Amino acid sequence: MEIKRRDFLKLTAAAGAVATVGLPKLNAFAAGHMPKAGEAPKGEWVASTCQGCTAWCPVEFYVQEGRIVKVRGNQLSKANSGFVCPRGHLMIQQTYDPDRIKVPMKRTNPAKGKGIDPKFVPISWDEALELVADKMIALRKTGHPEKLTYIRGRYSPTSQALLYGALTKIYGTGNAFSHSAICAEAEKMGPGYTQGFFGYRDYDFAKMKCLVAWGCDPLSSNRQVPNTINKLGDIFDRGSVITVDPRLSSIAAKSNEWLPIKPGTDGALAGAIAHVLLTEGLWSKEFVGDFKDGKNLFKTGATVDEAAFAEKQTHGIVKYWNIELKDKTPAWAAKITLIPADQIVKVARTMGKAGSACAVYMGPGVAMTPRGTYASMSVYALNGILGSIETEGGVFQSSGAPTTSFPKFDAFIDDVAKKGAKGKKLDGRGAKNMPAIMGGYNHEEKDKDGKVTKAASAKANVVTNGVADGLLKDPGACEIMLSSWTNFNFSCTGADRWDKAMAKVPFFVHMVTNASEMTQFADVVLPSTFAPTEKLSVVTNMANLHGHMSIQQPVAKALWQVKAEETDVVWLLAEKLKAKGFPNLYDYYASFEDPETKKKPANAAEFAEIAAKISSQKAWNGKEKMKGDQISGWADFKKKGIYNTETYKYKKNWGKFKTDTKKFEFYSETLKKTLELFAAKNKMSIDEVLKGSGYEAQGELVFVPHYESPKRHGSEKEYPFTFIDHKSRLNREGRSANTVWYHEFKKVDVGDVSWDDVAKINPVDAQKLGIKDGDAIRLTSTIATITCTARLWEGVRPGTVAKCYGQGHWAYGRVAAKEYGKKARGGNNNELMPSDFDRLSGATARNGGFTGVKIEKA
Amino acid sequence: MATQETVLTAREDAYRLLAACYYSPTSALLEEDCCNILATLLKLLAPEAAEQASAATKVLSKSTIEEQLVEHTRLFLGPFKLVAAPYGSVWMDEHKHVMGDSTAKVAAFYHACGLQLADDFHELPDHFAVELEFLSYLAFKQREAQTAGDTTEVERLKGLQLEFLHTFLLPWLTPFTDAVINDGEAPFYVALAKCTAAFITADAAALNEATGA
Repeated sequence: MEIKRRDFLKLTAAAGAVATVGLPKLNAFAAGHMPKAGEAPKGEWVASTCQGCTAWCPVEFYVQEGRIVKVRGNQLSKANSGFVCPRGHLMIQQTYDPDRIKVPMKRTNPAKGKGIDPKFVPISWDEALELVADKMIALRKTGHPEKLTYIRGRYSPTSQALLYGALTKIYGTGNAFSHSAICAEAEKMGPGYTQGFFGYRDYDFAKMKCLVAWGCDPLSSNRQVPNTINKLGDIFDRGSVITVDPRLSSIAAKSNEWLPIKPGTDGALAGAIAHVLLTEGLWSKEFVGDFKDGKNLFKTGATVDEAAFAEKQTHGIVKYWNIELKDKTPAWAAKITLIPADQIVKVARTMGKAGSACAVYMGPGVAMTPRGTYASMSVYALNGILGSIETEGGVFQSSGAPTTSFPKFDAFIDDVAKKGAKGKKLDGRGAKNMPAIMGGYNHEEKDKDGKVTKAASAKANVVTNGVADGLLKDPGACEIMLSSWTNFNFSCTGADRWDKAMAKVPFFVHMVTNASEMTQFADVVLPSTFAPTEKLSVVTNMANLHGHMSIQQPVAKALWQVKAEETDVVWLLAEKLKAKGFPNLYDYYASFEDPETKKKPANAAEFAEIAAKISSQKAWNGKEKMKGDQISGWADFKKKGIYNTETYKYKKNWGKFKTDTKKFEFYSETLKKTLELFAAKNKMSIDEVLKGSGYEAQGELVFVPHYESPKRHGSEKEYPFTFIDHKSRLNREGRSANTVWYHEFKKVDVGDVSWDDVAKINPVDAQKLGIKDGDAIRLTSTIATITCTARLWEGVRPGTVAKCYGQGHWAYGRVAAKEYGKKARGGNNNELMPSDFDRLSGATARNGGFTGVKIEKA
Repeated sequence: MATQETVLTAREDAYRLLAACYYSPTSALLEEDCCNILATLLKLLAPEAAEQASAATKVLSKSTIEEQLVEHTRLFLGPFKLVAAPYGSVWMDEHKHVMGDSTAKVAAFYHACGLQLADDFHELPDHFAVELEFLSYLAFKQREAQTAGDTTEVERLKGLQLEFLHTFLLPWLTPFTDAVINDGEAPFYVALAKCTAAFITADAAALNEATGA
């Protein structure tokens, strides 16, 4: 907001006659027109895409008089059948949050640290991008572009390639980090190393006879909330819903069976259920196969001859039994998991009865633990035993959407960039004690003569939370940091490390909608569009056995001076870099071509639109024979907002799973091969790799799903309570805590209280501690203390304490933080939980009871 | 004794200069001596407000624009908690966010008066400075009608100003200015807030009296 006319500040000249009245001195206003009768603007539904959780729901906004007033699911969406979940409605308050960043800003206080006021002042977009471009040019001139780090939180799956992909690579840095390893990467290890699918699964709720929600609450979070809410009721009519969760979640409250498992012992429970399924002959004969003579030789404690069993779609069921399962009885598991043996048997039989129409819906609670890879494999393997892989009522790999990639940018990468890209990554991936092999291995490459041109190698996945450690270890390795849609000082465990690390970054540019703890350390703040209502991009996802491609577009006039970081901002930055002698990025962006008109972009807005058209063109250009929806053109796509693919075909990947054996591997040859490659590169044995990374397994056990005991920070004597972190149905990628509705409706999280941040304690424990409902309490772990309110609740076991993630902001807006910079509203779980990892995946631990706490009255 | 014409011009200028003071401060504000001029104008319209404008002028003369910019940003722009959100809907509407029902109504009011926000103006219709500018515009229109001898139009415009004040500005004037005053950390803006509250309250009372409302 600026005064454009000096005249606005001057006195009106002496008046007298009509002729000297002059014109009004206006700054904010332009002369409009007198309205005609009946001109009041009509409301309309405008399509876009929610990105409040990982469901990325196609939605519609009702826009009236230029304002968004209502939200619903896109009526054409097959993923959500036209519904949104509770968090979808918060988009209105997020868009219209008065505390949003409105204009670019720069820091005027050079001192950086927690509690130090950055003293931001507004600057123009031009000035902001000049500052950033100058720094980037100067760094490039040193020959070390790898000292630019980019960190992304949420993003658009298409236009991310323009920033995370093109900008970093053309500039010349390999230090581009995604948030994914603090999200749920370890969850992918189960389907990955058994089925060769390192991704998130879909489910056939419509035909499911038994749903086992394990380590997540799909009514609240985890990738298809509206679809689950919509279809859950009918599952009860066809069969059962079982929930395995240490706390009474929304779905647990509705389930036929709730198994309040001792945190971190999921692998033991899965092993015992598998034991029952096998000993009672409840495995899928169609998927797994059978004993050659038809007689079940799976007897407790007995080793089975592998030759006696003929497998069909699987590999290593007998090895799995012999190495891990034969002694894992319900009685054994009961002692570890605290779930009664008879309940384990009952649940296993229910699952077995539903057979391949029983889906084990595994969430991050199983896997995001220090030894989570094996729990993930154990729980997911149940789907293999039941044969519910790609069957009616079963579990599916994700459906893709027919996006088109942007043009390649190899030709725009110069020698400086090539050299920079080879620099060491800050996150520590691939170190001897951090294999981070989520994804398996790269196959060897050969030329046409069969000569090996590239040896096979273990993949190295991002270790997001390791970046802080890398920055602290070698502060000189990062001169410039760019980051979008992030708040790692709040959202990463061991949050205080990020406060220390970010204080050492010399120049930090934060591109976000709202200033937060991480923004405290920014040198330049750029106001970002709130993606669902203001950004133009194309988003893809799947649910309900359909993939989809949906538009994300400005549904009303964007507020203030916000810009989309992945399109508008990178274009404008590229213009600046070009003007300062580095044209490569601009030249790449400017080479894009509108698929309809063949016109090249001349400005940021055109670039954003052309990018969206390129991404989505197959859905609407009429040149491709589409098996899903029929869309007549770009305008039709924008109006409908969605392209739904055809329905997923049952058993689509049977016989061609992307494992070493093409089978579902109970004995993971894929993991074995990957670990062999990793161990050989590091001149270690596989057992040394496992031991060095903190796992218990040695020998053949390494290659099968199995139980590993939970790792715990803090002795039970000093920290007697096991901490359970869980997610809110109102959290929106960490960005909703500043909305009033979040707090007003907080009670929709079972056990929680509106306008408070509570730790849920079993009344038996509370009585021993002399704590009453509503008391202020302190939770202390080995690394920190947080304060919140005690809530006495039978929904957690004695000995555990559950607290929802999302509150405890000390630097945020008027609602989220009690007093900016000074007093948090509630406590942040991530300050309490230490930084630890499931090192095979590189994923951050946040579940599985790895944090011991003590509870005291505050 | 000031002529009616002088009073009308002073009101028009006072609302406009007051609006200017709620923009991010620049050197132009100092160069044009806006606060001092405002103090002079207000002597005629609302002496209590004039004292505060003089106080603000003094603070301004002893500080730098950069210092005031930091304070203005913290109070009205963010990026963290806004000390005094300069948007009517945050104070007036149930949901306490921007672009509320009252924002739509205020935009419709402008529209009905033949105005709309300029395309290159990126603030909201119910921003405090925008509402002040609108009152300046209505005062201008009143002066224009007065000069043309169109008494019917003069009365209509007086009524419009009263309606606007009572519907859109007065409901949040006190809590908004109190937020700045109670923050207490920015002497220039504390004085400005006091000046604003005093002037608008006095002006509304004068308008009430003039229209017999």
